[in-house]
Amino acid sequence: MPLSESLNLNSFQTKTPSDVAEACDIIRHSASTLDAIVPSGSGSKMHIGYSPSRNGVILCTKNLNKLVDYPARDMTVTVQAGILVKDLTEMLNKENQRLPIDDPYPGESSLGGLLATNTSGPRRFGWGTLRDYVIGISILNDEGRETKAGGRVVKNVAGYDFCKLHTGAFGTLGIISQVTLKVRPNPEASSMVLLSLNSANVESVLDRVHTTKTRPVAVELLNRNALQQPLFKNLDLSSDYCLFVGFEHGAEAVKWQTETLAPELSDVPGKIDIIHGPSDSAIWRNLGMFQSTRIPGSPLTFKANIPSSKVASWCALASDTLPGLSLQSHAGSGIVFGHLPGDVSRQMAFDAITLLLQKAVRYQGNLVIPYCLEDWKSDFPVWGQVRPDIKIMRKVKESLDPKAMFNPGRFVDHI
Amino acid sequence: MKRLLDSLKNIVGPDAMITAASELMVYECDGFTIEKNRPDVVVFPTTTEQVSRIVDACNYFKVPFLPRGAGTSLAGGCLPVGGGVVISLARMKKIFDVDYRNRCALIEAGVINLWLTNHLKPHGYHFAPDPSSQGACTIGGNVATNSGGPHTLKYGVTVNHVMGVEFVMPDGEIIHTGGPVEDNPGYDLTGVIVGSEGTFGVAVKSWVRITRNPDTYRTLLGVFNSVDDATNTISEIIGAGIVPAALEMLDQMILGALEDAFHFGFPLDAGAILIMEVDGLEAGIDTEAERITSIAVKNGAREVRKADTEAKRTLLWKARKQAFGAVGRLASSFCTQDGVVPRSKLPHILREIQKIGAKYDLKICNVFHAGDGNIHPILLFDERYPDQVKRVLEASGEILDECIRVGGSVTGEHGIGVEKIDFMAKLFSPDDIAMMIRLRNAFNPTNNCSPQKMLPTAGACIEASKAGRMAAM
Ligand SMILES: Cc1cc2nc3c(=O)[nH]c(=O)nc-3n(C[C@H](O)[C@H](O)[C@H](O)COP(=O)(O)OP(=O)(O)OC[C@H]3O[C@@H](n4cnc5c(N)ncnc54)[C@H](O)[C@@H]3O)c2cc1C
Repeated sequence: MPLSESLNLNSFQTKTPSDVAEACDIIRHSASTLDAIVPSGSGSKMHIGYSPSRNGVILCTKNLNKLVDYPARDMTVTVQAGILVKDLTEMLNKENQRLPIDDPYPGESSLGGLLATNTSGPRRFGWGTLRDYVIGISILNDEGRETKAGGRVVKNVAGYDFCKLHTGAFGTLGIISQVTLKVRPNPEASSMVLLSLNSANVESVLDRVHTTKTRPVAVELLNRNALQQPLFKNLDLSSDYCLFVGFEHGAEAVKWQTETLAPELSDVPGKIDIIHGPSDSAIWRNLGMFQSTRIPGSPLTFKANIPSSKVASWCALASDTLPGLSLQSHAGSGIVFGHLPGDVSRQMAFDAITLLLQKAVRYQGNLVIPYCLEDWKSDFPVWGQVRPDIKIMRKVKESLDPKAMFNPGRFVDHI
Repeated sequence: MKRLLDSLKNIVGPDAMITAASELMVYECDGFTIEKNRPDVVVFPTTTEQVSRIVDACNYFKVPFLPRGAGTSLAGGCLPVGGGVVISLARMKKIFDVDYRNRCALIEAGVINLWLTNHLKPHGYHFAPDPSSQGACTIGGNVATNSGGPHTLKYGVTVNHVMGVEFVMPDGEIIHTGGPVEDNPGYDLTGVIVGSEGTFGVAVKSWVRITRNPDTYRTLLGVFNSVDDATNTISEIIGAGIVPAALEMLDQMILGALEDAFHFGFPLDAGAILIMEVDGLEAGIDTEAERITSIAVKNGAREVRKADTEAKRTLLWKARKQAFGAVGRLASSFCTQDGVVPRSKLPHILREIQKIGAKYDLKICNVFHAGDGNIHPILLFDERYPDQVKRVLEASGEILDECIRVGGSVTGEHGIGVEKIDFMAKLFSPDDIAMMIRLRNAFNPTNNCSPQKMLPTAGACIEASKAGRMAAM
């Protein structure tokens, strides 16, 4: 990974424990020396957030990667958190099952990293996000002890739901050592309907897709700049926007939906393409990867969360503000990723981000910056606008990590 | 206390509080009736500010308080341990804002679960968590206990449908977590508040997801000669990668009671029946229904009937959801247990339940969310005989211990409350519980809000407290 793509961890030593006991020893040692601990899995997301506020060690979980239990007939799997998502996927696939969460770094991400960053992609519209799949979790806490919550059954309300709390906590509350997941059967079939759109039609088409008779599991909107990126270049699309509507169900249901959606939208000017599996699988993957691609020279990537109904107007505002912007929206869920063009100055970027953030906040959403040049982080709103519930978050942090050992300063409001 | 009552009167007015002993009796307990304790006062706020001021007053006078919805909890979550103030959300019933385009709604805590779904129906939407008590229980109660229901097999439990809350913290502060937009940055406070059984504060409003109704259903009734055949069928349906909308089992004893009550035409000589429902688009649904039918037949189903009219389907679900009510026909008292096992262990746990029933000479019937592995054995007895009560308690304990032994849990949806506190130490290590106490301290450091719920207190004697532990009678 190029240096510009990582937090400032120069004086950090990396420790790679071979088992949980060794990891606990490292934590206990750090607790006595008050060193920071920066958890890492495969390292694919080590650029996200602020650099730690104290020196210490990187605790790499890549060797905590064992399969613990996979009772496929119960549709659950228990693994150590350092396992690579691709290895988990391969294992599940042998039983014709899957975790329907898109991995933007196929081949690289560890499960623990995916969980700590609450990563998701196009399928979230139909299948939900990681918080919907984690049913049990083990955490190495600030005292270097492995503690657990949840369990191995799909329905369970005994005790507080730490699974939710650690999902998306960016490793600031402890180290995820083991996870039990609910899994799904692989869908029998899938397809993608692609619609080329003019800017003027985006809003009304999104509204209509919202009430379509079909049940898409992904509704993805990409703008012209995004369509020019290598991930999508071979599709040869050059309209203002392209809408990708994805289906994953039984074969008959997919066929019917594909055949139904196209005529539903036949009065919309623009071309409609239908892509059936297996050639659609590359498109699904690439849509999942767009958020993690680096456009050459691009200094910043943002992620906005807004109401689904505001996606079209917000994207229009964003494109007007920065014409070179490459945009992708998980439009059904109101998530928008944008890569800034290479030629913007720091000031232009700052002004644009400030405007877009304000607009998102007005819609009760927010905007965060998963990637930017390291020295921009001092004044850019890396974690968006801080909300009043930060007070409670701080109390949770102080209670679970009183010495502020885990990723100090990295997450929202430098928590 | 007098001064506290005066303060409360100032806040909510005299018509929104109960202090007379005769009226307070209703609030001594919830659906778990074995332990009772009278609160000092019940208040009925109508705004978030009132809730916050009530909490301030309780803290000022150092009196414990407890949120309450409809009081249908089966785990004693509403038991006012140590008396104090019950804050009833029952008068906060507004459905503010339903945003169909963005598929979410803002509603007050006292809204009854079924009202919300009825409200959404004309627009083709519903609120997915559908506990059997949905005609009575509140959304606030669902949020607090993370309720499930028959259709949560496919659609997920309450936490999967709550996007944010307006919440009064135990120190009286009003906070908002999450909201109508997904993925706000920071910790998923909403996710831990759901299921915290009132120990983190009072949920006053919630942003909930609303779900599009499926186009169509196929509701099948698999009739089996034995419980074993039925549980093997469940295990195989799940194992085959089919995710039905609902998969519920009823055994012979409960069928008899239901037939008396609803005249559905259940086969009374069947060992067990399975309600198997698939839903979604018309395209492909018959194929799915056929797959399920053939798995049932392969596992010994003697017939698979179809509830092929809307009227039949509605009656079938009514019968299922009111099954607990019909149990009154079988015995004067009953105890509904709630446990979970991995789904492949269902045949085993049902056999164990039978053995345990025989060992303690108790009748036990079963009606439960089979697709999730969430069992609800109902132990029948007569509460006038202390010996029977004792046997029911011991048998319940043994069933739950077996759930733990095979890798399950002691509650899938009813919660820990006061009923199952003693089981926490069997499921979790002292370190695990210490982390839960730390988390509670972040929200509720004085433990003045819902004291003595969910988590065991250090030094509590398990055996001594056992006599009072029982689920809904
Ligand atoms: C016949 C019957 C069938 C049932 N079937 C099911 C079922 O299928 N699935 C299922 O999950 N449960 C079921 N239950 C249990 C119960 O109905 C649920 O737990 C329900 O969610 C409780 O809602 P309530 O409004 O009655 O809450 P209450 O019983 O009033 O309260 C339950 C708990 O939540 C807390 N609480 C209530 N409101 C709030 C609030 N606004 N803020 C914070 N805390 C609050 C209380 O302090 C208490 O701890 C059943 C119960 C009965 C009697």
